[in-house]
Amino acid sequence: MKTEIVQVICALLGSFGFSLIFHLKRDKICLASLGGGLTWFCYLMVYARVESQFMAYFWAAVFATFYAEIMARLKKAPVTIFVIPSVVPLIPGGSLYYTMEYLIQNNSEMMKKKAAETAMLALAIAMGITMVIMLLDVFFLLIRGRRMGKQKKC
Amino acid sequence: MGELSKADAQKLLKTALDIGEAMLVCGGEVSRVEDTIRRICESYGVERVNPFAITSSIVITLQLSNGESVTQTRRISGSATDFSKLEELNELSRFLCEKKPPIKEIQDVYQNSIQAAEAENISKKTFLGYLFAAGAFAVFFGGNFWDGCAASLIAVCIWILDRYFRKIMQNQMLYLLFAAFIMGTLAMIFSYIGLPFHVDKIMIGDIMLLIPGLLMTNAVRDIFSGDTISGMLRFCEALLMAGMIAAGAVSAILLMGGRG
Repeated sequence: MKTEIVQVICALLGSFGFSLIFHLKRDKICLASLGGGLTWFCYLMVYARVESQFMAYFWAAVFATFYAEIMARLKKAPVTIFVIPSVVPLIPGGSLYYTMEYLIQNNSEMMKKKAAETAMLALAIAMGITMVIMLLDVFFLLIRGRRMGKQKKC
Repeated sequence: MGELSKADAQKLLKTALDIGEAMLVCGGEVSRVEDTIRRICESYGVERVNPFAITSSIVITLQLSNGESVTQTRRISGSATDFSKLEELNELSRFLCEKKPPIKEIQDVYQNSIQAAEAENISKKTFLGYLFAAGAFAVFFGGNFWDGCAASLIAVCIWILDRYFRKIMQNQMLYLLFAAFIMGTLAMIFSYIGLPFHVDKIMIGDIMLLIPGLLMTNAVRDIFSGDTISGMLRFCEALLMAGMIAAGAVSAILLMGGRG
C-alpha cells in the first residue's frame, strides 16, 4: 500500500516537472499534474482488478486522454497541453532501460521479453489514446449533424 | 469582406505561415496547424485554402475568388516545446477569425502576441522542471530517496547541456547520444561512491527526461487523425531517438565497467 501511495505522489510530481519543462501556463500546471497522478491511480486500480499490465496501461491511457479532452474543453486550450503531462507516467522508460541492460548482459532471453514488453505497453497506450479520440470524433460529429438537421428543418 | 487583392493575399499568407510554423515548433499537431491556417484564411474571404503541413515544411496555396492563386512554402526546422506559446497562438488565431483586423495590421498583431509570449524568462522554470521530473521518476520506478537526489543532480547537468550545448550541436541525434552518454557516465560514478544507490533507477529517472514522449504521443495522434506521413516521420524520429539514448547509455555503462 505504501509503495502505491509513493508512486501516485511521484507520478504527480513527475507530471508537475514535465509541465514546467513544457512551459504550461500557471493556471493549467495544477490540472495537468493532477492528471498525471490520477492516471497512475487509475492504472493501479485497474491492475489490482485484472492483473494485466496491458489492460491497465490501456485503461490508464483512456483515462488520461479523456481527462485531457475534458480539461481542454473546460479551459478552452489545445488538448495536447493536457495529454502530454497526463500520459507521462505511463511512458515505459523502465522497460526500455531493462531491455538495454539485458542487452549488455548478453541475456537475450530476458532482453526479448523486455523488448516485447516495451512494444506492448507502447501499443496499449497508443490504442487507449486513439480509442478516445475516435469515439469523441464520432460523438461530436453526431451532435453537429443533429444540430445541422434541426437548422434545416427551421 | 471585400475581394482580396493578390498583394493582400500574400501578406495574409505570410502571417498564416508564421503562425503555423510557430505552432509546429511549439509542439502542436499537424492537423491543428492545417486547421488553424484554413480557418484564418477562410475568415478573410479566401475561396479555397489548400494547406499541407508535415513536420518539416508547410505549403499553402490560396485560390482567390477572382481566379488568381497564391502559394508560399516554409521550411520548418528545430523544435522547442512551449505550451504557453502554443496556447497564445491558439488564442491569436481565434482572435483573427472573429475580429478580422485589417490585413495591413495582422503582422503587427502576430508580432505583439509572440513577443508577449516570449518575454517571460523560462529557464528557471525548466530548471525546476528537470529537477522534479528526474527525481520523481527515479523514485516512481522503485528507487529510494537517495536515488531521487542523484537523478536530480544529473538532471542539472542535462539541463546545462540542453541549454548551452544543444544550439552548438546542430544534429539532434548526436546531441541525444552525447547527452545519454554523459548521463550514463555520471550515474555510474554515483554507483562507485558507496552510498546505497541503484544505478538503474537513477538512469531511468534521467532517461525519462530525454525520451521523446511528446514526439511519440503526437505521432500516434497524427497517424490516427489522418496525417499518416507526418505521423510516420515523427514515429521514425522518435524510434531513432530512443535508439540513440540507449546507445549512449550502453556505451557509458560499458566504458565505466558496469555489470557487463
